[in-house]
Amino acid sequence: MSTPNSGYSEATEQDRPSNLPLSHLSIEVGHFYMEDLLNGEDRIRAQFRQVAPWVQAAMAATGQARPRVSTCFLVDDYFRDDTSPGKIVDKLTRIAAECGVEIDYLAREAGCAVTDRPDRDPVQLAEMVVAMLLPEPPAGTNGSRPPLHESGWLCNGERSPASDTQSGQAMQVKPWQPPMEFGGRNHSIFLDVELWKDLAEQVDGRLIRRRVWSCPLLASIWHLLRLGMLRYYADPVAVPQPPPPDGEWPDTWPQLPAVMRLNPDAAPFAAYRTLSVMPRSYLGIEHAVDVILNHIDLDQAVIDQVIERGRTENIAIPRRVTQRISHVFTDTTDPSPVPDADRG
Amino acid sequence: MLIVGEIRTGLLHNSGRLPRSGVVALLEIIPGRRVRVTNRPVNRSVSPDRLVCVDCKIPTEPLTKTQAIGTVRSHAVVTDGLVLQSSARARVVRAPGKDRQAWSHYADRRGTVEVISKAELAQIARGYRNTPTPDNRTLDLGAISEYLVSVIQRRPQLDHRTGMRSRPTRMRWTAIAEPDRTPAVNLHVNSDVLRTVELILPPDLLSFAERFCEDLALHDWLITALDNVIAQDDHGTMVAPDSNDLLNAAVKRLVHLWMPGAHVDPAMSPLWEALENRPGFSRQWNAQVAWVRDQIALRTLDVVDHVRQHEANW
Repeated sequence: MSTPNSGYSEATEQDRPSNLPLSHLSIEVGHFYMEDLLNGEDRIRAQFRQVAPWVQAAMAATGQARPRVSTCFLVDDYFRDDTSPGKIVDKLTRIAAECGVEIDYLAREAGCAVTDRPDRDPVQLAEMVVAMLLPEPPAGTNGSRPPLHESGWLCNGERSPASDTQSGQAMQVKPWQPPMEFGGRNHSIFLDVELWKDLAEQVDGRLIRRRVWSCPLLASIWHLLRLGMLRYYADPVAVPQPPPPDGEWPDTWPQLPAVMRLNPDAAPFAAYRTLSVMPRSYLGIEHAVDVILNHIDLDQAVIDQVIERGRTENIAIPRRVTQRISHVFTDTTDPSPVPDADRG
Repeated sequence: MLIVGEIRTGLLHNSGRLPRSGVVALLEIIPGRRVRVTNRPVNRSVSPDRLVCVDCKIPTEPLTKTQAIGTVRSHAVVTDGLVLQSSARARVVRAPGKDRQAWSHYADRRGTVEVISKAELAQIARGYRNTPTPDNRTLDLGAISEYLVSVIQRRPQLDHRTGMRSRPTRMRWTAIAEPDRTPAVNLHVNSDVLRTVELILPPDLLSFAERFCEDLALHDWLITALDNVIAQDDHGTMVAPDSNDLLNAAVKRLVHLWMPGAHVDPAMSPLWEALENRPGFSRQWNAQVAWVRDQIALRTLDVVDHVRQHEANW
């Protein structure tokens, strides 16, 4: 007979998650919008030059006698997929190598939304992760209302109440009330994150509804993949595949796997900890990622598995996934940054 | 330690029995998480847990100020492709402090609600059992359970046709741990559709409370459903054009599901035995089944007799 605690928590004993090979550290070596990759080489070169010393420093700082460190790069093919993979990958890896940065793994952002599996149905990763969200309840949430995040927004506190201008009682305007961050220290830093947008488009005379996932949501999934935290019915997802043989890149991005191992000798893609080195213009997105990841109900069996794996190597792994993620934000050397409106 | 729960039990909105593969697809309400299936002695499939976050009052008796913060679990259970149960429950503990913590504190304690209050757990248990319709500031496991029913009943695996008319039932339950206690159960029938169950268990049996209550709710619903069939037959108010159809449907769908305690840990069997003594669950069920079978047999004889006379007249 099991103890009350273990019995009631219904550990998914039939769902023992499969093990993933894990590195000590996964380093994301910069990030560009697709426009950056199309327009000249100077901006790419400038960023990789800034990234290179941080990569060296992070590799040296693992504290391991024989560190397993892999590097990765995420291509933004979700918000713009009309480019040629062969040309982009060639340009990217060539300039990175010139600057002393090796890219072990290349991933596609669209692969964080839907990821293909060899000989099996694709996995709707974004839908899966959205279903794992636990939106923080404002006081008075008693279970009788439908889930808040069905609106497509997730926040780290309580929203400012809507002003009541529709009720015909316009004379009795309620004074404005501020939003509030839950668990904030003295003052609030309130953040409301858009997870998706539903668009209706005319295609061949028919109205097609399409859900567009937001950049912070896809970036959250990217972090979870790098931390080895996602399983689909206990199976790993977005397992790294070799790139097309003999450099025969296809014409479009969707023909490629979600994650490709460019360096056959690379340490494992997923890792105990991640570091992302990127321009400071991505700070807002990464703040939103932090909010999303703090509200996610990850498979407890996967968390236990990673902690146990760390223990066998004498490495303490924090239970909370956001405590395994770190960033370096570099300054922007480019005089003409991409305008905000062009961002995903 | 205290667990509070509410279970809705009714028929799947489908014209016939849903095949096993259909049941699994129906219950895949969380992408990527598996439906748990047991096939013996009867097929029983359980959806993955859905978590609902709450910060609200929880009823107490006598009345005390409370704030309950945390997550409630709910899951759906389908028995033999016919009966749908939706079960919401939360483990209730007293909060160590007086303030709401950062959300990660609650996110790490799945299915636990921490109560900031001076109230004792027994006071909360009593208050919960005696508040079947909470106001909109008070923990509403019924609404959580009802929401899951509506999610499942709308899914495309069902044909949304009524195979047999029956009324869903609600069971509100509490299970409280008391050291060195022999297990005890108290079932109260509040109305046609509402039942209240109070369990007192030694701490090592508390984990079986939820499964026991789901099993009890299923059997209580079976009795209610068959009783309803008999009442409809008595009053000639059947939905089926042929009076025998309803009785046949009931025999086909319901009778083989009667297996009290089959899905419950043997340690909980004394509770079933207590319920068999009083009110005498199986006694009532067997009498109902016998009545239905007698009716079918009598009407079959009538038909045979009628056919014979018809042939004799030729």
